[in-house]
Amino acid sequence: MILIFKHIKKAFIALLLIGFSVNSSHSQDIEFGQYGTYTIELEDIGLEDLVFQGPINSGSGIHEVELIDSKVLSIIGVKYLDVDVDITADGKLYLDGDPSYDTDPERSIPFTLDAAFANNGENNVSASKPIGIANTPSMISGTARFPILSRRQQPPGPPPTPPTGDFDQSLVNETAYLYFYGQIDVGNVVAGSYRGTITVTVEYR
Amino acid sequence: MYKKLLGLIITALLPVFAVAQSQQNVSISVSATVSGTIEMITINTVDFDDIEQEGSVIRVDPIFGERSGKMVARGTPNAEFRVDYIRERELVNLDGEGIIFFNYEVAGNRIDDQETAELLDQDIRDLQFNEEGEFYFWIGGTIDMSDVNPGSYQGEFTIEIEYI
Repeated sequence: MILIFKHIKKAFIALLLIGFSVNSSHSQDIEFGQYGTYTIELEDIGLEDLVFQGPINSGSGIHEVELIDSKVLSIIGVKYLDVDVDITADGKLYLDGDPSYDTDPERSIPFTLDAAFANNGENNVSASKPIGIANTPSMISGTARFPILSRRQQPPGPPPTPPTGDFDQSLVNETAYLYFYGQIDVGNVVAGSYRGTITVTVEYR
Repeated sequence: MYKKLLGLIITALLPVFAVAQSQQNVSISVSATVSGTIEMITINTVDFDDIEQEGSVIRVDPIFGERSGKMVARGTPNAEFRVDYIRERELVNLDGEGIIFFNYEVAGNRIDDQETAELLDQDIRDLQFNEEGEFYFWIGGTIDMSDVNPGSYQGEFTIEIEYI
């Protein structure tokens, strides 16, 4: 009897374990990037930063950089893999880039960031999809997750060959593009150069 | 049994903590230059008093003429600007009937030196303030005196400056 009970107890624990492992796995989401040593590159395309072109006068209100004039970054990586993109920035541009002017409305300009990505293998804003950005006066943040190459409603392809001595990642690389644009709202500010920084991080999912 | 169970769970969690993901960062600069106001200061007006007349035309050379008018524009240091002015202005006779036409000529320089100034003879010119935010103009021109009533004539000169 005791023996049977022991067996039951084992079976119960085994069931518990299976139950636990089912709950902890998210469908069939396999994070290949966690186990491989695939490289990812994030490159700045074009020489110029995100510049709001002049003339910009004090009190002149909204000035815009449109999607078509975006600052562009490229992500080069394994086309089968998903990437997480993390975007952060200050919600203002500061006179001479000095963040100590954060509470000084005469030396800071509210900044609203917009972003988009294209993962169809082409640097083309017309095929881009927007990235949700939370804009607040103190902080801008946004995230996106997408495959380097869109699967176009097809089931995902085979998993990439695990990196070995013979593995040539360049054969399975593709390029996705990130676009950054937005607006500033110029109040009654002192004349001068206003600057801010957007930090973009990409990693394999 | 519980130890085994705990061991299994820890083993299951290990890969999550042993993550070695490839990650890349890039910083993008965002910038905007806010221009200040532009101030125009007249230093000298164009002086035609008792000027020597050759034929019917009086001319004050904006580059080499001592009688030329002088103005200084003050704005944002090193900022580019565009200048435009009306070439021909009417001067009216303050003492009676008659008008004469003044054809303006303007020269400009980033430094306060008339003789090295450049004649601004195109319709619209793109120029740049110097490091102190100043730009100098010398104003001259010609008047045809062939059919002019006696009197004292006065008119104005308009120059437009805007940031590019």
